[in-house]
Amino acid sequence: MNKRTADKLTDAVLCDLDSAQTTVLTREERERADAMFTRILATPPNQVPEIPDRPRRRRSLILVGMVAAGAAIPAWLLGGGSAFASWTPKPEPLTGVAAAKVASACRAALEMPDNGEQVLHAERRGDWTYVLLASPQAEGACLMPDYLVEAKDLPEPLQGGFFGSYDPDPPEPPVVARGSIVETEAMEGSVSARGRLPFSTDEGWLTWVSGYLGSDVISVTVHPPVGPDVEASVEGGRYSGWWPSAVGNSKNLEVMGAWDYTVTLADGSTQRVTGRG
Amino acid sequence: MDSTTSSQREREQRFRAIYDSAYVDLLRFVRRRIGPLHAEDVVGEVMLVAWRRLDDVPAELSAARAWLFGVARKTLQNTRRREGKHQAVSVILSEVSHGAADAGQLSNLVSQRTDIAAAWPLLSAIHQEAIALSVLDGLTAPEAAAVLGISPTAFRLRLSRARRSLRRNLDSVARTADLPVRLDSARST
Repeated sequence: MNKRTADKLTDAVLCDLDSAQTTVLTREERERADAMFTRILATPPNQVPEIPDRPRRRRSLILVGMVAAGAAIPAWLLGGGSAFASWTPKPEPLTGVAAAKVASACRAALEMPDNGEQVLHAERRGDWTYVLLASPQAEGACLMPDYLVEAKDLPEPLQGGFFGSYDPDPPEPPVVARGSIVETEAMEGSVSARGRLPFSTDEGWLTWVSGYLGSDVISVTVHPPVGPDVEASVEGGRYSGWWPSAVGNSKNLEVMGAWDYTVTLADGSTQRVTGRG
Repeated sequence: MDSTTSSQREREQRFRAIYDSAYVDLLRFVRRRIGPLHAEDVVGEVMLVAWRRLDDVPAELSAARAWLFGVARKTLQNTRRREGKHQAVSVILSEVSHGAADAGQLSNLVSQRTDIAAAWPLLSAIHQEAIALSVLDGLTAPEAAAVLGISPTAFRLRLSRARRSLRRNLDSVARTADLPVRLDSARST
């Protein structure tokens, strides 16, 4: 048998083994398809959702987890459930001893060596603390529940959630135009139990963004597709913010929209921006 | 009639045409890759993207279908990325069941089904994807290339390599099947 004939036979067998052979919808499938069509039409057109590119992570990050035998999942949390019930759209800034304490907890959780990185952002939103440590040599960021910040020894495995990133070779900061910002990281994670299938839970999702500020930007507000506006932490030419979100599915289409920002400039004026510079 | 209303109606009509013509194929595309359980949710996500980016969807329905497949693939990739999995999206085949009628049928087709079902998982996800886009999803080389975000020439090359790899796996599977007993079993008897 020549190659072409063999390939044709193979193709025929592959079609025979196709796991999605049915070309006709059942009545129930048709009804669900029609309902979905109606729901989609009810959403505003002409908005460019970010779903195909999400989670946007425009930098190469090494993400570190704290659970034994943890898979290299881009962003994850463990345990939790209603973990974000206490979340607040406005952060409570941490300074001095409190900031140093969360920085120390983050370093320990990430196993990040101390090379003199500065604590650029340290904030609390309810029971969760976020910290961003940065220097030209390395960057680390953590989102941790209270118990982890307070723990003398890190429990193994961690319970109650941890979300972290560590980049031992951060890229050069982008050039940011005045009056603008450049979003360099956007990640999503969830507190759902490990091993669950994707799209199977809408509990405990969060979205985390950070980026760089134009020189005249003094505050940043994120407008998520659903939920209240989020006041970002702004310091050292950087911004960071996070908010509870949900996994998008056919019954929850609105959460799949794009977020954007309002920046306040030093002269008091505001501008609506996309975060793309 | 208000031009805004007219324009909105035209958009809805265009989206309806895309939705109706591509829904089943898109559902099958997704089912081949993640199974039936959450396929409709993914199709919903993809169709929402199409509705919101209607101006970006190619006018010709066949090309629009390939565009939707590309969005679906990215959606599935994002899920895999969250799980730290590879970039290519692997493809699931049906399991081969051996009915009573098979026992006496040693036709080429029956043995080929068994061999291909065994050889398919040995293919890399990249090669599974290339063959599936062409054979199961029924795309032309330029359409498949658009789904993968590569040039048609690169796709043809990838498909050729994928077929060669599948042939190699089939040979390997067939040789294994020819062995009367496994060697370790033979030693133990």
